[in-house]
Amino acid sequence: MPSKKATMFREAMREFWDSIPKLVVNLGTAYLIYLFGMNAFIPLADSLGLTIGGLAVSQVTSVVVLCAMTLLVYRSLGELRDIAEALAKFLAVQVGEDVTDEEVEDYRTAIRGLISVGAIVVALYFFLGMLRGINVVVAGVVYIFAVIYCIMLLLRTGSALEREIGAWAEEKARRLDSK
Amino acid sequence: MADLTAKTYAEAMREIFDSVPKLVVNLLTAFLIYIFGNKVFTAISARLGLTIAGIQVVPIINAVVLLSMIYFVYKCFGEIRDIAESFGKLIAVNIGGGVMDESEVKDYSSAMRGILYAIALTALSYFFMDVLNGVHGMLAGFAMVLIVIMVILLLFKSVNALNRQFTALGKQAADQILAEAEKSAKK
Repeated sequence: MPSKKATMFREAMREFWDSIPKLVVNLGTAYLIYLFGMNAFIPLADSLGLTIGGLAVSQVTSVVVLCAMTLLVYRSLGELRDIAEALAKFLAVQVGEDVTDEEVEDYRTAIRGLISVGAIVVALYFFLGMLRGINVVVAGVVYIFAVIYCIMLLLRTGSALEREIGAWAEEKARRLDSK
Repeated sequence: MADLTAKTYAEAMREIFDSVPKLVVNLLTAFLIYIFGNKVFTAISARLGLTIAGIQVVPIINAVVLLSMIYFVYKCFGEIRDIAESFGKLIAVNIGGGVMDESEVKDYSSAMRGILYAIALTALSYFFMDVLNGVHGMLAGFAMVLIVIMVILLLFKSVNALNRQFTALGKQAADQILAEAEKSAKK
């Protein structure tokens, strides 16, 4: 294995194993908070009809739970970015004979886009229920923004992959010509 | 090191067997007080419309029941802390692969404590809120929001402790994989 590839492989491996546990713990906790909030506190506040100064406690609880989940998801995004970076390096090491910075950048963009879209879809599944409990219009607006953002991310992913596939096809064609 | 592991394991098991029966007894007592207070005494005084100098007896009974439940639950939290610490020790003994240090035990204990407290608070809020709502509705609302915030903070504390230990485990796994990759490359 050439030295640059070996260094990149080592870096990617370290980044990957550094981020995965943090991601799992952060997302696991966000899920726990969601479970406690949605299945215990909000139904309990609803069933007892609790209010503070005319404001429903279930709504206040939704806001608190949503803030905590947002913080954890925000922390997870940093880890997801590192994982995407590591996977991009793995891919760059595996595909092609030598590794260029542009290649790593393109794979990074593509993988980050795909992971982000996956994460947004999963996050929407949990967040929309909470948001709907606070305000239906806000939930609708957030949903539309998320859809538009996902489409933009997929477009970026597509163009990054297109560049790399084009370069790969060009290299293949050059090799065939030289034969 | 093996001595420390065996000693920690023995300590943890002893603590668990010491705390679990106490926890069960305290919880059962609190539950019995809840059942009698909320379902029998409150119901009777509400049906009879009892008052003391113009003040309804129902909120007074609810307050008394609440105070006695708080006393038993307070005792339970001491036992839950001991059980969480024991679980933390058991996890440190099993995950460390025989090698463990004080920080590992501390982190796992802290994480377990946070999770068990969060579960206990959530379970207790089902009983407390009902009684507290009988004393004063707005008080119950404030208590509910406070409990939610407390549960979230406890879970955050657990995450930070777990993150430290899991990061160390991840580093260990990466080192192992890289060493194996180097070994197979040399072959």
